[in-house]
Amino acid sequence: MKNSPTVEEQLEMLRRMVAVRHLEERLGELHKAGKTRGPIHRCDGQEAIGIGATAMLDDEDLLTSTHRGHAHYVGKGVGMHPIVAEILGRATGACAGRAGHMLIADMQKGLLGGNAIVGGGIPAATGFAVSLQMKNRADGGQRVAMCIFGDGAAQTGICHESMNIAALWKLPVVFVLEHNQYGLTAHHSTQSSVPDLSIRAAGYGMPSEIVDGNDVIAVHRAVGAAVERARRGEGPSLVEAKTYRMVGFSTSDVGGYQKDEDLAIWRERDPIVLARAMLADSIPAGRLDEIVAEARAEVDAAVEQALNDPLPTFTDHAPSAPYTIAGA
Amino acid sequence: MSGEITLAGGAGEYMESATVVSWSAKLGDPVKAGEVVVVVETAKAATEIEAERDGILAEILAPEGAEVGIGAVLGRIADSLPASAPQAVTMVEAAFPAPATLEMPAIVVSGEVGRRISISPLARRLARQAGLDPAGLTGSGPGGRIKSRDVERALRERAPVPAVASAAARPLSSASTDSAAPLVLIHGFGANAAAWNTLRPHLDGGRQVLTAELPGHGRTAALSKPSLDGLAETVLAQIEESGATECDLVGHSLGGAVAAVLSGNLSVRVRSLTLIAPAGLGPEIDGAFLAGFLAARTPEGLQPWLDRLVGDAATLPRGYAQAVLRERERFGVGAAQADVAQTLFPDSTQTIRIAGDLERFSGPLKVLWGRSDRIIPQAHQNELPGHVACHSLEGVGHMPHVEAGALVARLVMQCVRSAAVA
Amino acid sequence: MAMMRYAEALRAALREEMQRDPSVWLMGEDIAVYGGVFKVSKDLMEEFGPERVRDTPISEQTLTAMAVTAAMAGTRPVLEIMYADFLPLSVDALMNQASIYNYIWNGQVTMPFVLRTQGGGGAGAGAQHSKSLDALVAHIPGIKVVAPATAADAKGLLKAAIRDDHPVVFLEHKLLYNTRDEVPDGDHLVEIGKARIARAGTDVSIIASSKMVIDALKAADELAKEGVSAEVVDLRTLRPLDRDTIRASIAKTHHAVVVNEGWRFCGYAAELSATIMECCFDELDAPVERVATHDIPIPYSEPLESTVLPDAAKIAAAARRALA
Repeated sequence: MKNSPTVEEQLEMLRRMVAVRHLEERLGELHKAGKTRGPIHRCDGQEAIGIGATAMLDDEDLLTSTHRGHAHYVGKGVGMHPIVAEILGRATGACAGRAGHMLIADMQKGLLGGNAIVGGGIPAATGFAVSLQMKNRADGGQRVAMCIFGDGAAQTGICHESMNIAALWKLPVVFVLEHNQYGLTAHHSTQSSVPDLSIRAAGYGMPSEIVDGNDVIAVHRAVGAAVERARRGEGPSLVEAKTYRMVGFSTSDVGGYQKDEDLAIWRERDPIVLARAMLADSIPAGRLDEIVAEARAEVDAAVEQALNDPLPTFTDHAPSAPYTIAGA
Repeated sequence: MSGEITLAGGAGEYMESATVVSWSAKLGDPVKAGEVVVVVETAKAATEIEAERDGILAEILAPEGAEVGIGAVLGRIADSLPASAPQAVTMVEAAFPAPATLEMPAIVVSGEVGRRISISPLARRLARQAGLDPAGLTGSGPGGRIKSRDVERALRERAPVPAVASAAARPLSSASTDSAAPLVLIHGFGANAAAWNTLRPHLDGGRQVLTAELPGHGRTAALSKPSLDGLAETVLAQIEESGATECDLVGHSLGGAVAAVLSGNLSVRVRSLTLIAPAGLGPEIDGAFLAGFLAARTPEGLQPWLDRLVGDAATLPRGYAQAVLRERERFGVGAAQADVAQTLFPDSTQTIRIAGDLERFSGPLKVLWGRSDRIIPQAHQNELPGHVACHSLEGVGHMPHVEAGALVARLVMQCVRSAAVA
Repeated sequence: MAMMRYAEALRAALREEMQRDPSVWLMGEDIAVYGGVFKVSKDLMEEFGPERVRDTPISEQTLTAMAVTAAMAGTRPVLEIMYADFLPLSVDALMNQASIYNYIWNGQVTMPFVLRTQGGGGAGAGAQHSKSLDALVAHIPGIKVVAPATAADAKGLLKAAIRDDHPVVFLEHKLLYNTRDEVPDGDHLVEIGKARIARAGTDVSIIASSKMVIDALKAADELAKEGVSAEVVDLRTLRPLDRDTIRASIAKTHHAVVVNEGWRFCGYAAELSATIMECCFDELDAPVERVATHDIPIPYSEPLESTVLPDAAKIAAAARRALA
């Protein structure tokens, strides 16, 4: 099938999903141990979207993420150690401890970046797409922008404004709606007049597709098609990936609003379990176990290293210094 | 409760200021909370301000007719009247307090009311530099606030000649970009830059004024060479530092001789010269004055000599002798001045000559002299060459710029203006 | 030198920078085909084409956020927000996006975009089209804010703003577009962050920006008739603030009147007043006088509007209070 990942690509996606899951587990422990600051927004159960949607992107393609972006960071190729060190507030972090877990960016990898204003990534990706469109026209490049956003963000005014402009100007941008059913504690049925948000794309004359967000291959195929369309200069698309948030909104969420039966159904459909099952025919179980163990070990090593890294010291922002007040 | 009667927002939300129309109570009158004590008028309407507490109207800070800003304190209610009427704040040691009081804090509490003195930051700084106690100053700003002009007035009134410390709080400048050529004022022997305080208000406000200070005078005890050229070099350096490339010079007595020497310098072009009772035109000088002035150790011993400086001793302010002595004590200028006198005026004789300098100077040149000068005889004016304009001032002694400031300023500006025309 | 209207000077700056740098492009409502409601971008679409001069939907919030990231991705957008009153829609993008990235991403990105807008009252445009929201944008770290008063500065500062690697909010005034003055020919640049002395004086410093400079100069004329020599400081840049020029002026005059057309409470004039207190307290011979717009919505009818806005008479009155 078109845009289907190769076995090698599937293995790499599995490895990344396992790494993200283990990162979330370790962060949960570290948070309980008081080693992290502020809330941590885990993406347990949603890994297939962040990993599957970004697998076909290059470093020159620009991704905007959310406050729940660990899978997006890993999917876009940011190293595990800079991510962990940033979350632990270390000088060695991806942003030297200035950003924290919700706002990580890596210019070299085209991750720009996490965004904790819900919906903020949507116009951001649209803005990237204008510049990329101009650059592509100038040099024949095929760069695209991608925005991964949630069902909560889909209700913002800027989501409408951005999609309208993106379609109007045929911008090379792909909107990936990571529909995890909840905006903080509120179920989508209390926030949206329609259950399938992708039907809104029709209002902009923009193609859309609904996929199983826990099936990494399905996500890869649908998003891959949208990326190719954008690369061809045919404009934006919307992919709505249905999933379920298996954990609370954040580590400060006391829960109680998600039904046990729903959690049980979605636990059966764990994206890592599904991804592994889809490889069972072509890869021996021993090899898959090795990959899982390697991925977990990579996270553990990054955590150990980061815990021993130095904390930053405050310095005025010198490199470009727009923040300095003259004569102050 | 503070007892302050203030102009609050009650007089209109968008009001920025108001005028005091009338006080309903007189000083010392008992007032009751809720009773109208003062009426103010804004652009829109008259507003009555009520007493917030019972008591006695102890102070009126904003008299009728005064314009006051929002939040201004108009007066105060206290339990009793202060011992001395607040409007006539007592001039305790006003002019020249002991050095210790120089370090007085910004907030000065005096009197039984515990009143905080309202003084602008600049005025406070100038007063501190001049050694003036703000408690002795009368404020002319809104609500009786003491402004820099009040400090300057006090300095003028009390210490015209060798004022305390450096009243040259703004040492080498005052104003204006109208002309690139500043008017440079050079004081006489034993004085300092503050000697010009009575003259300066009469000068054209558009002119930049530099008040030079001779070495061994004011706050500068150091004296490299006691020669006329040495003094002139120092003054020239001060003028050069201001960035001026040309200037008009005014000099008094020894400063007049310095100005004459400077008239031919090649670095800063001198456009005009106004000399006031200058030294260097003849051998005579009152040696007794010099000796007595330098030798005096007490105000009583100095006062008779100072009286000789002016035509009418009454024009000398009280406290002047103390100021001279304290400057000597604090900045150690006495030895340097003795050195200058010994070199330039030994044995009642002037050893310096400026006739050649004046002969060579081709710009406008005026020499002013008081007919009652007892320090350097006015007869020296007769020695001057024909191109010099001479003014002879009736009833004036050796200090025309102090004794007749307005006239001297007028003559200075005439000279300056004719240079500009030329 | 050429006599030029303020709006023409802005257009000249846009044209020259677009000719100089192909990465410079414009977007905004009604700016391309129509040339902008104040005609600042007139004829530029014809010259540079619709990709570089774009008409946009009415989507200020998104357009501002797009300018931020488009700039990050290698082009230099100049966004026109038609009225400063619409700036609140831009504030999320300025405050939560543009302000933070250079710092929290540890210098990985720059954002060379300019947000042009125009504000100010006096034209009877009513409560939603007359505001001066200088304080709203000048409050934000990492955002430079300029507010030229003359055509020459409008050109020189806009060119400098377009070349700046960091976000610049460029505040114009609707009543200045038709004012004329001499504009230097050629590549005229005015450094951001430098005030100028619009009129030298010795008695009181009037510190203003944008159209208030014109009113301050009129006030100075009035004061001169009374023998008061007022110095007018044209800030030109609101952030970063040129404290040195303010300090030097007040060290000379010892009296300060701060003027801003925004609301008085928590307004830009309050920042000026606080700055003066911090940097030249000991030079002050009187409290700083503040002239600003009344803290109410700007009314429509002429006698109502002129009452709430600052003008030359109010500035002169403030100077007299300072010198009282």
